[in-house]
Amino acid sequence: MTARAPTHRTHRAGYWFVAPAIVLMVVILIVPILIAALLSFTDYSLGNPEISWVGFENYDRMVNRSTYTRMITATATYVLVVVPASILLGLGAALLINSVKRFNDLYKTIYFLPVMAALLAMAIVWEFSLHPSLGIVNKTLASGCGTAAESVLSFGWLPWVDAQASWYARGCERGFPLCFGNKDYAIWTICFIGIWQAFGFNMVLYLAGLTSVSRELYHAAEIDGATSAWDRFRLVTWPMLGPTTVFVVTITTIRSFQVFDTVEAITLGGPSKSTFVMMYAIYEKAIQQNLIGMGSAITVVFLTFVLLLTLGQRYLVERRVHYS
Amino acid sequence: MTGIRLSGITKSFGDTSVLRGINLDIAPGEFLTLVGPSGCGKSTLLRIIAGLEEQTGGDVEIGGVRVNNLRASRRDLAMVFQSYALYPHLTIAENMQTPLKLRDLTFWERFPLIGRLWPNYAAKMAALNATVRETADTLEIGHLLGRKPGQLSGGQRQRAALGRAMVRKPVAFLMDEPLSNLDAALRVHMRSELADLHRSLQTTFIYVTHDQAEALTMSDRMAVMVEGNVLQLGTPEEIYRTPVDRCVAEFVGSPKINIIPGAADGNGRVSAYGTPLQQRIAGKARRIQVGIRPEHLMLAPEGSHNEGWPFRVTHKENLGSDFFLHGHLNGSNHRIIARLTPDEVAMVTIGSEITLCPAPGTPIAFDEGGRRIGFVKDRQ
Repeated sequence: MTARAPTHRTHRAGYWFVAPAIVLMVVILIVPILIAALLSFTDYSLGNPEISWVGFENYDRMVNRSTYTRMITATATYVLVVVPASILLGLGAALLINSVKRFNDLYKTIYFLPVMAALLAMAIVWEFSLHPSLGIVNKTLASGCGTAAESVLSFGWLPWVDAQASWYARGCERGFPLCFGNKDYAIWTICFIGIWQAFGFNMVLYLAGLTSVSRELYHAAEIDGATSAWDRFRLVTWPMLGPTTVFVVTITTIRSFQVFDTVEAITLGGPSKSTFVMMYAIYEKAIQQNLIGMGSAITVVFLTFVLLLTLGQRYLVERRVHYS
Repeated sequence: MTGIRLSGITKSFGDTSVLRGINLDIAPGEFLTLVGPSGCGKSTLLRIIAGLEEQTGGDVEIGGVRVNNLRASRRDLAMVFQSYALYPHLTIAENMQTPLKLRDLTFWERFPLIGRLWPNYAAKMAALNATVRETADTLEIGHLLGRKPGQLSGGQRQRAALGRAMVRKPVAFLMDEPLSNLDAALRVHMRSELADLHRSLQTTFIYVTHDQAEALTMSDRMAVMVEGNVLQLGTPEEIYRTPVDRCVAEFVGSPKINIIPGAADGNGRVSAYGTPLQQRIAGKARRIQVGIRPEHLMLAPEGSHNEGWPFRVTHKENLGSDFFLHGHLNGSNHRIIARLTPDEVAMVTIGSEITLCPAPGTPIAFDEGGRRIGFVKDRQ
């Protein structure tokens, strides 16, 4: 048979081939999202025969109720702290590991360990470590009180610091803070665990990106007079890592929006909703309190964030960071 | 103009010795080519001169100053890479600005965003842009300054890479196979452009290539390297006419020189494959090898059978201006290539037997170890 333009028949065959994938995608992705979007305008709850259209009431609450303002604050804090910190640490660790000739496999393994461990289990371990009275962290801090460690850590040796007013000195006096029990500390502690867990993954992505940077570009930079490591980083490493960075930022941001395990295992959103992150809010509203409508509304907001991020990534990847 | 002197350069990677004591004295303003088969250490040598690689032993001197401990960025050399190594995220103008920025601007003036707030920034950038523009115009890439390397053809990238090397007016240009990524026609064109550029810049060029044609066409002198040694250093003419040994003779010239077994009799008279060559070497009777370049073979005049070699033609290659006749000496498996004019081969058919003889004075004799033996001038 000679080659010719596809006939109506072959056209139709094409649709048959993609049909299973399309059907699956519609059934398990598109339809649930549409249902969630619809439910977000209702007061539906499971087992309740009555369902009424409430319009934008759920969204209205999200803007006006303090619980949801705190949800946005907690989520934003988490994302804005964990994303830059884990990316910078990941990049730094990757650059350092890339520059050493020995033991780099050992370092890679050590930094990657938190990624491989189950976050839920790790969260429980951190909970014990940071327990106010039993935890190793506060105990260690307290054991330094009254010793030389206190004079060092209270920074009294710096001329402009009042040793008595320092964080460490006050901790010795009144006891060290409850990392998860104090609403000023809880979200930061959750952030810390998030960074600890995420940066190893980013490091591995950056290491992979670094291996693809051409050695000749570094040589060209050296010949052009880039004497300092900073000049070489700015001229070669950072631009060449552009595609990696876009990917790392997107994936870390999406993962940060999804934080759930640590909150569920340790703080349950408290104290006073200071760690009430979005995923946990969806879980609490929709599953625990059976407020499916409200849960759906949060889900829609969450999906919107993720969608915007993905679109942003596509734009950046296509316009800015691919050079050829 | 600055000369470069290499003395006793050695380089080994672990147990593998890549360079085995290289001594080279490169005159100011000279175009020196390092040529050799791949793996001969020529690129390593160039990178040692550049300072990108550290030698195991020996000294590099630039303009009479020992630079062993000077890093690449302080040696004031420019390098053109095989892959061009242009920064892909920068435009051609920015690529060409880079070496100047790194030399003329301070750390804070180079800093992103706040750099332009410094008082001298505008003046410095104006001067620098003028240099870039001027260089780009000499290379005829002025219209490409706003493009990224990815939007250029191979030849244009090549020029941009040259431009980036030229803006700083370095003491010497180092080029690592800069033409090998171009197509054949452009390569031939760029050969003459590079030679012109060298003539107008009057700067020392050190050029690395595996292509003997590039070496022969462009260099003032060429160094033939094999397995970490410089076998011969000389003008292209010297290397072509009087190679030190069979290895150099076979490397230079395309197609390869024909090697025919021969002998010298008690009086030193040389014959090759039974045919006397009218040339004499000093010393006693011995077996030798005779090298004859393809273009030095010609059809023997009719009826002079003992003046040449009977040659069976197996293949006729048409190059337009010339023909390559492939075949072997009758009754042997010595493959021979002869370069003849279309007129000469008009009557020659594949499978036929013809008689070839060398142009007088052209054969080269090698001893059995491969070293060249000089002919003795006959007093006639």
